[in-house]
Amino acid sequence: MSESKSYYLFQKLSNDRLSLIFNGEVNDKITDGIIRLTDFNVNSLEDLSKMRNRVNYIMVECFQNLVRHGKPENSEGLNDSTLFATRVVGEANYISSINLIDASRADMLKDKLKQLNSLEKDKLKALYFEILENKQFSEKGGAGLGLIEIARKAGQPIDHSIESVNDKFYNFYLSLKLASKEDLSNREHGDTLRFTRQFDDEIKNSNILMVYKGDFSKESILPIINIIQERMYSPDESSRGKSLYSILVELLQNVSRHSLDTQKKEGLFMITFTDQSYTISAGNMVTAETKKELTEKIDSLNKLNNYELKDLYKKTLKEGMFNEKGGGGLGLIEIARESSGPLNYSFDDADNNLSFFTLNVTF
Amino acid sequence: MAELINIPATEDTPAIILDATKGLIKISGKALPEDSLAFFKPVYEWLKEYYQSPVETTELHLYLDYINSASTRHLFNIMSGMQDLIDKQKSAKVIWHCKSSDEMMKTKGEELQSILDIPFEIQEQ
Repeated sequence: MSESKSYYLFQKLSNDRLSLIFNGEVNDKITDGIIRLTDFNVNSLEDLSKMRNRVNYIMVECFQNLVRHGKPENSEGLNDSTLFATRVVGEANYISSINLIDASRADMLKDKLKQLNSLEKDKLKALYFEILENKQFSEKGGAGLGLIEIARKAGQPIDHSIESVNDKFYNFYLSLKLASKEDLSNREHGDTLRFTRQFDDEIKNSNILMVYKGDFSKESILPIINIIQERMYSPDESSRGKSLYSILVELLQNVSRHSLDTQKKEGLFMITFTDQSYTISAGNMVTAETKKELTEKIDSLNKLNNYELKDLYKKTLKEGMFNEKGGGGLGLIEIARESSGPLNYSFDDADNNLSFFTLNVTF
Repeated sequence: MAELINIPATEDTPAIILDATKGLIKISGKALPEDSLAFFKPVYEWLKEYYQSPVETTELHLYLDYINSASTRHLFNIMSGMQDLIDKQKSAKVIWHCKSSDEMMKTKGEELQSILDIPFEIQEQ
C-alpha cells in the first residue's frame, strides 16, 4: 500500500516542532487565529518564548503585507493563492510567504528590498522616520513602511525572490529566520529562502489548503477551528457550518485523546480540496492495539446508513460506559453522521511497532 | 445545603448556574471542553449535595449552541440522574431551548428526549 499524504507530510516535517502552512487568502480573522496558534506554541517552547513578541510583530507585518498586496486584479486562471507559513525548527522560527504581485510593481519592490537589505540598523531607523514624517512619501515609498518594519525587527536582510509568472504577474517570495541565539555572520544570503521555498512551493502547487503539525491540546485546537471556519464556511447559523464545526471538534479532540504521550499531544492536520469537496484529515501515532480497535470500529460504522448511525448513537449514549479516554465511543459515530460519505482511513507503519493513523472526512 | 454556584462561560465551556433555592440548573453556550469530566465534576458534586434536600420542583434549562460528544454523555448522565428526584416524589423537568433554525441542536434535544424517561420539553425560538 502506498504511503498516505498525511504521513508523507508528517515525516517531511519530522524536525519541525511546529508547522503551520496556510495556502489561501488571509483576512483579519484568519490572521488572528494563526497568530494565536503560533503564539501559544512558541510560548510553550521554553527556549523560544523570549522571541514571542518579536515573532508576533513580524507575523502581523507580514500578514498586512499579504492582505494589502494580496491577489492583484484580473489574475483569474493563475494559481494566485497566497501562501503563509510559520515553522519552528530547532531553535529557530521560520516565517515565509508567497504572493502574486502585479508586474508593474516588480522592479520597484526589487529596488526597495535591495535598498533595505543594504542598510544598517541605524539607517533603517532613520529611513523609517523619514518616511513616517512624509519627507520621502511617494507612490513608491508609501508602501514600504511594513517592509522596513520587518527588516528592523528581524534584524537581518530579508531573504526574497521576485520571479516572473507571466508577462503580467510575478511571485514575491519572502522568508525570514528568527533565532534566539545565532551568529548572523555565518548565514549566507538565500539560505533561509532555500530552506522554506521547497516545501512552500510543494504546498502551493498542491490541492492542500492548510497543514498543521504540532500540539493538539485545547489551546491549539480552538484557533485551528476558527481559522478553518473562516476559510471554508461561515459558521453559526447555517447547518452546514455547524456540521463542519462538529467534524472539526470531534476529529481534533480524537487526536488529542488517542495521543500516546499525554504530555505532548502531537499530530498532523490538513485540509485538501478536490472535486469540489473538502477533505479534512487528522493523523497521529497509535499503538498496534489502538489500530485494531479503530479498524474494527470504523469498518463497522461504514456499514451503517444514517438511520442506523442515529440508532447506534442513541444506544451508545444510553447504554455505553465512559471509556478511559473519556470519549465514550461517541466521537467517531458523530463524525460518521456528519460526514458526507463513508469514513476513509489509513495506517502507515512506523518505527517501534507504531502506526500513523489518519482519518479523512469528506465534507 | 448546596450553595449557589455560578460558573462563567469560556471559549469552550458553557455558563452554568446551579441554584438550590430555586431548584434551577441552567447551562448555556458552547460545551466542548477537552477534559469534560474535570469540567462537569463541580456539577456532579453540587447535584449530589442538592439531592439530599431538593426543593419541590427542579428544572434543568439548556441553551446550547454546541455540545461535543464527551459533554453530551455527561449531560445524559445528569439528566438521567434526575430520575432520583421523581423517585422521591419531587417534580423534575428538562427544558431544551434551541433556535428553530438550529437543526443540529434540535436533533440533539430530540435524541436525548427519546432515550430519557423523565419529563423533557423542547422549546424552539
